Amino acid sequence: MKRILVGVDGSSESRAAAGFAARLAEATGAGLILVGIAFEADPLVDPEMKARMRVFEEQEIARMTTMIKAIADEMARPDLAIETLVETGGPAVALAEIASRKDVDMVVVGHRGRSAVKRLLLGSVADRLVQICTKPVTVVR
Amino acid sequence: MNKILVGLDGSARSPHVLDTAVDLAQRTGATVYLYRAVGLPSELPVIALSMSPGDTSALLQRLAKEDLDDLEHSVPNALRGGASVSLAIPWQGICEAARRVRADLIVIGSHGYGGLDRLLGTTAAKVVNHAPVSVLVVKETREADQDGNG
Repeated sequence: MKRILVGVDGSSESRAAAGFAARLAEATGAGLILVGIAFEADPLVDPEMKARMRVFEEQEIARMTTMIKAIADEMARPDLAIETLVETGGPAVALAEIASRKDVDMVVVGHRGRSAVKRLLLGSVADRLVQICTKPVTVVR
Repeated sequence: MNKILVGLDGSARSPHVLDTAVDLAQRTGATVYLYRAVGLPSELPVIALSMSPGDTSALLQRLAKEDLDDLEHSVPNALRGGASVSLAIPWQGICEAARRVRADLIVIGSHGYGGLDRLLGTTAAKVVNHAPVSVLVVKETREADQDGNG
């Protein structure tokens, strides 16, 4: 294995996923790509709203970047190469796209990546990812 | 990782799923357990099988076990944990088998999720949602078919 991608959103489940991915990366000599997906401003809304959402999007990217860096620092080990990446979009679609683009060997996510209400309405990020991702996906519990 | 349970079906793509699990087991020093559910139509109550000449389910399970034993030959001796079959709805059988062997990872294949599959949900989706442990879903794409054929 060369590259393992793990999606992190700050939840305890996603941290467990990151731990799993790090152990696997160490066992296989793979590099780890820590990915945070930030909210994306909807391009369809009216311009005034769009400008406000753009501000929110930038805040989200900054917040996510700080968090991902902090988690990468926590996980730092001499024999583990960690790359960090923050992109915007819908979490499952964005993760699947990055997985293809980076040609990773596995994608790792926690089994809950949304609030309880959103999960009820939309299903979990893991569900969606398993459906659309062309790479092997591990859902960590 | 100590124990990996591989959920297999009778499809030609099973070896690809098994190879992925064996590769992972070799790298992590885990033991591999093979499992296959002998499917029954969901509208058929289990009791119907015991009322009819029960030989049918025994035969189906025996055939499935023979298939699974054949597949297990591709698992290095040192990594073999065993192979089992049971009469179950696949996702329930897989989750139950994972509990029974105290697996810490389930490896399963997933078909391409065509339109209808997505609507109805599949074994893989059910396992992901109900498994007691982490689940690795291996895509069984045309690429995988090509790997298998050549």
